[in-house]
Amino acid sequence: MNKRSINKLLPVWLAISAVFIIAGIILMCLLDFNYSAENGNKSTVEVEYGVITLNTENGAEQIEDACDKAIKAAGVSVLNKTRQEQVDSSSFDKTVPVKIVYEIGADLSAEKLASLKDAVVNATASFAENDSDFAVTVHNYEIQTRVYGESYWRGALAIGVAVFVALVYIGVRFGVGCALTGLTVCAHDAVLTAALFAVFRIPVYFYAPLVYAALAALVSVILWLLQCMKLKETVKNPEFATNPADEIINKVRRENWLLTVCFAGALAVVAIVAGALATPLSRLFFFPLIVPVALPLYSSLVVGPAIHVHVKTAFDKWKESHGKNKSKKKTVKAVETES
Amino acid sequence: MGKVKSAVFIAFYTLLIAVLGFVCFVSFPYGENNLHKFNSVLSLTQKDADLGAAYGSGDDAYLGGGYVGVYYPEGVVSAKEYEENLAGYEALVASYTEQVAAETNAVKKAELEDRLEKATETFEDYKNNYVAYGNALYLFKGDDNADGIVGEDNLPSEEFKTSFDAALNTVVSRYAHLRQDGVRVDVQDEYSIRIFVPQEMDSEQTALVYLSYTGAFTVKYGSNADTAEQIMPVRSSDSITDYIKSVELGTRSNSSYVHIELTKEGKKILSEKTSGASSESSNTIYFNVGDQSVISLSVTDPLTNDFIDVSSSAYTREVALTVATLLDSALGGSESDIVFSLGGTYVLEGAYGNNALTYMYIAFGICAALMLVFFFVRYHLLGFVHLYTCLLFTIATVLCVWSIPFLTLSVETFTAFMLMLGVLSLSDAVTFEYARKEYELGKTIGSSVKTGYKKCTWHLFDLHIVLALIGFVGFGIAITNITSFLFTIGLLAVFSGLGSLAINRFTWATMMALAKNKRAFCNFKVEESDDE
Repeated sequence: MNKRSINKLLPVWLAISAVFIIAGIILMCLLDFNYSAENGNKSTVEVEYGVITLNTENGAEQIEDACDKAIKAAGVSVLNKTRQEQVDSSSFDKTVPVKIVYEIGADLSAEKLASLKDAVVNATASFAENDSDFAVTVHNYEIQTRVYGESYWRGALAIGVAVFVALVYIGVRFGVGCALTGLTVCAHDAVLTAALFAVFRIPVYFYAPLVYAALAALVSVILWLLQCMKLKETVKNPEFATNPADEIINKVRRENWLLTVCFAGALAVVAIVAGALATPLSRLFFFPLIVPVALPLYSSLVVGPAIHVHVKTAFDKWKESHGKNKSKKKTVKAVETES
Repeated sequence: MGKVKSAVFIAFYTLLIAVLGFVCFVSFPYGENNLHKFNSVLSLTQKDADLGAAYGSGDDAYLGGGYVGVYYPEGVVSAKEYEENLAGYEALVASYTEQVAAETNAVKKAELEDRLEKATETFEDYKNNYVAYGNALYLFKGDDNADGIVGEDNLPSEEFKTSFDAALNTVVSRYAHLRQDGVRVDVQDEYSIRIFVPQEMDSEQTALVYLSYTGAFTVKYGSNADTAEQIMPVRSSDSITDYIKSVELGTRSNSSYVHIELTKEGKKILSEKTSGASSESSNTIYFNVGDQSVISLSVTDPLTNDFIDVSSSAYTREVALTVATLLDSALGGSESDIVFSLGGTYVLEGAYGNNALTYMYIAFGICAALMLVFFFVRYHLLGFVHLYTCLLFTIATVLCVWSIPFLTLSVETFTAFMLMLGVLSLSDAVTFEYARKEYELGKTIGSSVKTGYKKCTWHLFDLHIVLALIGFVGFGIAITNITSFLFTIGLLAVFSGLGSLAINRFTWATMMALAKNKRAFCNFKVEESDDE
């Protein structure tokens, strides 16, 4: 890649971001986010059995097997299967009946759900004859996300404030220029993440776009911190100190890309592992985390450095015009002395 | 450091890690017939119910997950309950029919026929008074849909729908106010409410039962619940909020109580009514929601303050919060509110499955093994330095999660631990690489380590301080399990920083002092110059 290409291509990167952000805003206004995950509506087929089945050898397994086959034959895919035991309402001691609960999507009509129930009833008719507790029921559920809504928006706010504090630290340690670029990149990543969720209609919970945007800012600030560290080290090196901003930043980008990719890769692995461990509904939260990891990676390797070329050039000029670039002067002096 | 000192230090360090590791991770039975059990710190650590792990030890251990209960509004029954009841009435009719047919004595037959008639009437009434709704509910319609909850079209009436929506909002806001991670509220089959409360709560039962109470908030005072006089609201035209401002949770010296804030009018009424209270009078003040008594407070002195603090030995923070939440939300309740009954309660396995914790341990094992393979292959014996730091880091984490009250072993803390273990490994690798680069320039090992550390110290400091800031600042704002994630990030950032910048360096110096060939110990190589 051409050493100066990163700077020259900035309008292209910004144009791409602008297109997605504008498209995202339009879609948000027209269609809002895809909140199909928020409803998380689901249906269940529940098969209850009592003591007689429990005391029959392999009785429970046979029922489960018959139900599995009946549901599979009906062409319905099961999202999750759980076993629930009734407890005494006052002591909470376990008692009977026991339930096998098949969670299925909410896309089945009431009629299809009723016919699925009939299929399960027919498949288990021989067990029902002997067990008075035996029952097959079907239910529809609609999640009330307000119960945990506060934890979502407060989590996003917490991350947002933490990112701001981190940017203040970057400003103190690496200079206001680095903090400004960091702030720009964080804002860019947060907005673009939300826009991508709107454009690609990724299913989300109610507060999730806010949380993903905050997480994008968080990952962004950490990746930008890695770039700032390398940048400071490079600027301190007398060999490069006098070079133009774009050369220094290109060098930093080239030398730091592996570390940045490794860091983002580790985060992506954590998201994927957590998603693989989680239940289907939780998976809807974990897997899209790839977006707020991949986007900051792109920004820290491409957009951030390109923006910082301009910011650094402007700050260097300002410092020179105000006679404040002491470190550079020192380095230039050191280079001259050496030569 | 001399070789002898180094050897003594390494032996002591190894012993310390072995003992701590044993205490933290190894559980075993002992005593005659294995009657006793030594529980490791990890096994005693509180675990998130979602992980499906055994919490605690011995007979008290339970698998994670939680309880599911369904609130049915008055007039709504599950199809299962309806069918069971109907079958019961039908069986009774069949039984009387058989008895009538078999009876020869005219008097007894007439008596049985009378019973049969009543049983048939009950059966027909029950059958006709309910109408099926959807696949899983029956709604009460009463005679000619007059006193039921459905309209002429046998669908829920607008009045019922509005009342149900209001009651649902109340229930949702109550559970949201608990701010308990894992709690779920779902509308089941449109007109019933399914609640899930995680087992890690202290008082799931209290929450499930108390938070279903609806109706007007009333305060009664008297010697027993049946004869007690209603003292708030005094007049039917008044609202309870004319007497009580709010009800909230209070905590003092590690004990929790329910704080009831009175208005001037409330204070006046209460001091008037309780003016004759003494230890002999044995009067009680009852705080009721609907028909249910929530607090019964024995009054031995006149209540003259503008607040009442109610505490009890049964009031853990969670119970007090549940009671306060119920009473505060009931301030807006009325006699016309829908009354709920709690249907069958079921225990549900962990949300992530019963083996989630095992999978987490396996995931940790695989990641740790890959990490160690990398370090031992690239840095040979220097890998031991990293291994010792990682072990100390892991042990410190387990001890903290065990001892800090609001931390539990959960997906959040585990994810934070894995992330920070990655940061620690990255930091150690960075220090090793900086030293390796210095060595490649032709410096001695000692000088390379010193210069390498000097060059990367600020980088690592910056990374850790930013992570710690993010963790602790976020912890101060977030709620529920996100707090444990952010706090763990902050805490482990401190540990990781200390580990890589201080402990790792010290261990490196000590271990390397024992090595005959320091270059081979670190697997550092000098780049061969082309000129040679």
